[in-house]
Amino acid sequence: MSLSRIAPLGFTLALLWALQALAEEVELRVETVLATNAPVVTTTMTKKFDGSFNEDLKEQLERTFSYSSYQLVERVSRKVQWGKREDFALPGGRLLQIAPREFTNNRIALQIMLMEGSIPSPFMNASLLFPNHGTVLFAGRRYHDGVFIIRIGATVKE
Amino acid sequence: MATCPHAERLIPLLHDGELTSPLRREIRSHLATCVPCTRALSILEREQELLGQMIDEEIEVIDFSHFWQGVEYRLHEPQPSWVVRLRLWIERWHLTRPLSAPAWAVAAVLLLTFGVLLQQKSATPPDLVQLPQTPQLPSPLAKSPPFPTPSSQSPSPPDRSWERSDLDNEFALVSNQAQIESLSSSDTVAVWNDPGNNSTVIWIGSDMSEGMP
Repeated sequence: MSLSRIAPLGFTLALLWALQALAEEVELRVETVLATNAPVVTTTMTKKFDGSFNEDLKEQLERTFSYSSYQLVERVSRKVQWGKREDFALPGGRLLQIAPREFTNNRIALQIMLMEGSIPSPFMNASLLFPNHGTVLFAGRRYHDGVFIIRIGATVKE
Repeated sequence: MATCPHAERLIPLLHDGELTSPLRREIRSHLATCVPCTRALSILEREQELLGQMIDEEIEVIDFSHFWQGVEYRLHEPQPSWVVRLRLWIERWHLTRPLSAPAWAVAAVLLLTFGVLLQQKSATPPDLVQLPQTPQLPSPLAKSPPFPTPSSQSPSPPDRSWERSDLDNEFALVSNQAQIESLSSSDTVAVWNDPGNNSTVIWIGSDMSEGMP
């Protein structure tokens, strides 16, 4: 095969590779749970977990906290490009901003900011690194009779 | 032979209908008194008439009897496969825009460099809103040993105690699940880690309810 044929082929492969690199993104998952010490009572039974909880979220909450009931308020999953900031509106008028920074050594770096108020003002700013498919929990903010637990997860396809 | 400045400039425009209404009216009234302009307009009209006749004669010679059959044939003509079309397109492209092998190679190298830069993903995050007067965790935390990676975790049972480091009303725990590069808050912050279930909890607020870790 002559060079004149190999060169366009190489160019095409490089183009495909560059396009693939351009399209890389990270999947962010935000799960908001309201934890209380009053059990959620339905007409038929008393439930500890109310809502479509994943088993791993249930297990993580049970092993980490000791509230008597958990209600899944919201679950959001979005694909975000590296370096782009994504806003997540949280119940109670709070706002979560996440900016995925980089992915090195199988660790995802995120810049996370939590805001609240009618004119949102930040009350927490964190720069975190955690493993791919990992999660981190933010908690402590009160809502009604309970406390918000926000689980943030990030996944990069390898 | 008498000439008129309008004959060259404005009469062709009048003939083509390119004049605005006021000017057209003015030239029309001028034509009634100007022989050169009237002659110029007549010549233009005669030229157009001759051209129209010539086109009509040419059209009459053309045989349109198989025109629609030809259209129908082209509509039902089987398309060549995409491989053939691609090859034809590449050949045509090569003929019209010949690029040497070094040019292709340079373009490939440039693209590879671009891809490598993208792969590094070292994009600086957008400027998040800066916290007003948010106290950074004091330097003792920053000087703490690096957070161990999950692979280096010891199989110790979950440590459910708070390792307090009372630093201006803030306390923190070193996490071996999430590595905290920086953390600031306008409220009390506690970081808790459970190696047993690989959970990192960042507790914001001084409200230590009963269910907290």
